[in-house]
Amino acid sequence: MKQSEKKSEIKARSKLPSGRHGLPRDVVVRSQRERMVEAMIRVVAEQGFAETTVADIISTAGVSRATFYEQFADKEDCFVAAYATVMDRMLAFVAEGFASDDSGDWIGRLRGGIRSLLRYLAQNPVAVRVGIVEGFGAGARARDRYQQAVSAFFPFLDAGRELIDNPERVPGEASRVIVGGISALIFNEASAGNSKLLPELLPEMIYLAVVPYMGHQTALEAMMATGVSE
Amino acid sequence: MSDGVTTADQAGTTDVSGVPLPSGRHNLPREFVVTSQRDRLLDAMAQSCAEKRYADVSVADIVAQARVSRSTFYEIFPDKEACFLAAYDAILGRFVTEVIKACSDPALTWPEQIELGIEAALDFLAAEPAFARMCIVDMFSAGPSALERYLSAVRLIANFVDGGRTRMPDREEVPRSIATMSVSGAAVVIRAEIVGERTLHLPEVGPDILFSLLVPYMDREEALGRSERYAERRALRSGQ
Repeated sequence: MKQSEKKSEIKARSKLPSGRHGLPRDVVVRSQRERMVEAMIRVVAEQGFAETTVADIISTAGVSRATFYEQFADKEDCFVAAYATVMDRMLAFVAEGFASDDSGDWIGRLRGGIRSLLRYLAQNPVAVRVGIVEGFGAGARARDRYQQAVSAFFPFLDAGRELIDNPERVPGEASRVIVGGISALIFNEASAGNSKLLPELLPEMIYLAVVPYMGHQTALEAMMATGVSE
Repeated sequence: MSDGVTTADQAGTTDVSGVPLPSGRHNLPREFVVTSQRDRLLDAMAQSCAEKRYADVSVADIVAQARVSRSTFYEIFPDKEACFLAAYDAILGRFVTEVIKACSDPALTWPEQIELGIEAALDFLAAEPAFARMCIVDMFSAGPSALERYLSAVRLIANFVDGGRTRMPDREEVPRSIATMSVSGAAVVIRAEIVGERTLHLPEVGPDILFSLLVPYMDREEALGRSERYAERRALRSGQ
């Protein structure tokens, strides 16, 4: 009952007028694709990827089965598109966070970026479920998309190399350990239903991100200087 | 041939159909047969996961690979997931034993234990590529029980790494979650190598992982030096 209300609400909001509407074909196709992707995001957020069927997607999006298979090979194909949409929104938000501190201070920018990520996730349960919790188990292509999204963070971290002597001595995988560790902690907390508390983990994440480049003392000071709220 | 003999033969054939045990009356205790069938099923599960992703592996694939009948499979395991979990537990047990054996000598310092533990772990995974894939890649799509096993293995290793807070001087202020994050991050590095089909080269990322695990608990220069010496030691070993 509740879910069907939600579905018709999505339909009512985004469906084009049916019948002859004189809209160009590419506009119709794009609108259908967007509706199916949004439907996938909603349905997976609600019931998980494993339980989601193509029938759920087409009824939520208000398109025919034939239309679905014109644009997607299968359920996973549509999920990858949905996943990419969620990750792009999240990354755009985080990139703004990294840019928000214009003092030129590397630690300040890291703080801004990771804080934006944690706040975004705390406020967007749909992004948490689709992008973090479900993304891991949904197959190789979603995983590749995840790797790609995660790599977007490496340059922000490796900017720390420019501030130290002998940057080449910092092992190449150091940034992957940081990003992987932060995302694993987010995954653990989100899976346990604690995504609202994610912003409280910021100080520890700052320590983890700073320590390979600057060492324990600087990382500890950066952690202590990191406020959770503001 | 009487009907009675035919029935007994058929029953025997069904039990061990196509397995490399002598067919017919072989006087092996049934428990032994089941154990070896079970081991073959566990091995077949791991092999199948190495060839395709867990979601696409069917009971039919497993029984074909193990050369065991479908009914035998269901006598031993209720479903595919139970077989996966049993295989996971079997290999994780061996993995943990190997790693502990390599690093638990009380004469070693904490950083030495971490280094030898990493080396043993990576050598093990490189030698068992099918299991490596199953334990570090496939468990994300094999249901909550598999994921829980993976996470408890991470917790076990993280607890050991967190020992750096007390075993190294002046590091009580390092948060406990640092070890959880750096061990999980090391697993992400390992996963990327496996997915990129570089499982055999896993030991090469050892020095990088060592640095990341040590650096919160000791002077940064010293952590860099240990990582570099580990890389030199490896290069010498593989050069010979």
